[in-house]
Amino acid sequence: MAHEEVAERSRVKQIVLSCWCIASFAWYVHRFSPALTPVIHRLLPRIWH
Amino acid sequence: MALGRAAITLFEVLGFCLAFASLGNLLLRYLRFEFESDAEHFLSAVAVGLVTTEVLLFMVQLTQRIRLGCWLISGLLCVLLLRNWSRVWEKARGALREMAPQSRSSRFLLILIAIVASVEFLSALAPLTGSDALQYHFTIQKQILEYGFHPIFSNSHSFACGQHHLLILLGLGLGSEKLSLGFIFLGGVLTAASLACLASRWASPVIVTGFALIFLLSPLAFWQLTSSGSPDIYMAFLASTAVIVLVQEKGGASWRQALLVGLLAGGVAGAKYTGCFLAAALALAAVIELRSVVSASFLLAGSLASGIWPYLRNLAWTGNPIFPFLAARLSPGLVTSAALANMYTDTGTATRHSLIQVLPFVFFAGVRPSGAGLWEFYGPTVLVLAPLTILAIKNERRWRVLILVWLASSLGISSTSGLARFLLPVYPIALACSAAGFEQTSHKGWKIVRGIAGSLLVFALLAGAVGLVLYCKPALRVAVGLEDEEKYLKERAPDYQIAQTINALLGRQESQRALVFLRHSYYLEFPYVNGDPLTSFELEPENMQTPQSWTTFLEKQNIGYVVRSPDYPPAIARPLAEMERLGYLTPIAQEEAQTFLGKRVEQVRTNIPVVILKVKR
Repeated sequence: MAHEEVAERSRVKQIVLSCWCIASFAWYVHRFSPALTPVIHRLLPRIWH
Repeated sequence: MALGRAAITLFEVLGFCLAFASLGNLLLRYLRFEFESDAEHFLSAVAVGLVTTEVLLFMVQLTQRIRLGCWLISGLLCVLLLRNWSRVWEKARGALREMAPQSRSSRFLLILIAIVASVEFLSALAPLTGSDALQYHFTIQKQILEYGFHPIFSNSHSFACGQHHLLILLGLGLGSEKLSLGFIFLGGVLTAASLACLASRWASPVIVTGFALIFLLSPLAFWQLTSSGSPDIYMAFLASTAVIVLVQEKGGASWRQALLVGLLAGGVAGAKYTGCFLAAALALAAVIELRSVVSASFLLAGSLASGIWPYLRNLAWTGNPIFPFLAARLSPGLVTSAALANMYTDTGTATRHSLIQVLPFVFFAGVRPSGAGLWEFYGPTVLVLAPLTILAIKNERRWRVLILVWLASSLGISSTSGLARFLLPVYPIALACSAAGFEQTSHKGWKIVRGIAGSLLVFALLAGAVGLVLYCKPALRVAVGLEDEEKYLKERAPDYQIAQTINALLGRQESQRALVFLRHSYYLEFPYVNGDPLTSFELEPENMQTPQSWTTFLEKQNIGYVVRSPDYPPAIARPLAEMERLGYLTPIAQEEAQTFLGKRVEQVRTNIPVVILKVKR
């Protein structure tokens, strides 16, 4: 396999993996947001004061 | 003063840790089993010593001289520690040397770990407020110490107490609730150290330290270590050390290795019914790797020796080793329908779970169908790194064992219970695999992925750190003496004010008992029977609908007082109200107390009347 082809494959793999990392992180936060939001709402004024 | 007490508890906890190691060392020396590193040897010695101590504590319960037994066992551990000090210290020093930072970033992360562990330790020593702890983790041990080792049907969760609850019993038996709480913290630190040992087989010291920090800052982990009052964290420690023993390849596969894995797997199975899935997964991995009937027999013998005791206890008391589960078939007369249904809902066994529902649990992203709760929040690390972990897998023993134990036990636990927090014992194993996944980004030169995944993990770490500070702030204030313990308990502990009101109105010593309808009864000093149909197997509401049936029940249970706070449970309210009207129950005292309306996490409080009624004989 040519050097460029290997580099290209690695780049594609990295892009796919990076997309997974970001998407799964966002999905996780979204999944737990119903539990997190009320706590954050309750805590924010306390931190502020 | 408060900090001085914390320092004494730290000294005691460290002493017990070294004493467990000296007891475990004896067994390891007898088995002539060699480890690949001092850290692995030390952790395995602690684990083996711990399960052996728990078996001894179980035996002590049978004698009914429990406090004396706790002192004798502690004395025995002290003698062993003094006699084997040089060898234990040599291994402990070797383990510390292996942990020593090699670079500036490792040193920075280690300092962060020390700060986080200190915060968690101090928070863990705050007075007990965890809901499950006040319901049974601590309450049952306190009742065993006061009234002896007997079945407690008035607490439906009492039969779920396993081997590690005996550490709470040990602390309380020695007269120190702080020591019991310190033991739970110790379990967390030992788990983080085992995770680091496992991860160091693949990852660089910086990544290893980073993942240990991720574990300590995962909300579910720091909740378990600090305020939960639950000893489940020891399942994670023993599962990780069992894996450490199984992946040793120095001396070749042997019956000794199988016996050790069996002892530790038994320790996991003896902790909780869901631990059986982990023990089965460990046994399966051992059978596949060791491939010998002799080894399998030693594994079985080891696991029975260390973990069968709570099952035998339940069998002797109820005829059902996993009471109250399968009670309809094995012990039908001993359960009540409402309490059983409530327990099924509590443990998540009431609902069936499809594979699609179960899959997120494997990556620690599962939630109950009713919605996500903070007590299920592990953080996104395992999920985010999942593809990298899959790409890192190789056909080597260490990978085969870890992946098999992770997948088989998490699938088993989540398909039967559906509660993410029951996956805690597998979490360090999954994190160790994730560390390998992250490490390969540098081996393969994937700078973009490393940058993005690393940034997300740092973000998750920061969020975890903020969560830890906010969560532990009130407990820390008490632990360092800035806030009064009584005030803290009044504000935080569920049903504390009701229990204190009952204590004040009824006094401490009485020949008769009180009937209460209270879930959290740890702070109750008066002898009592819990009559809440949702948490007690003592009474079946269907059979308690007439004043006559109540009179018989109160007489039989030697109950002299009934506590109404504020109302009777709906299923039994009518006959009890009728008894009040007919003069069988006469109000003798009443006081206002504050309690939580709904769950504590919602922080809605209300004032309720606590009424003491005297039973007419």
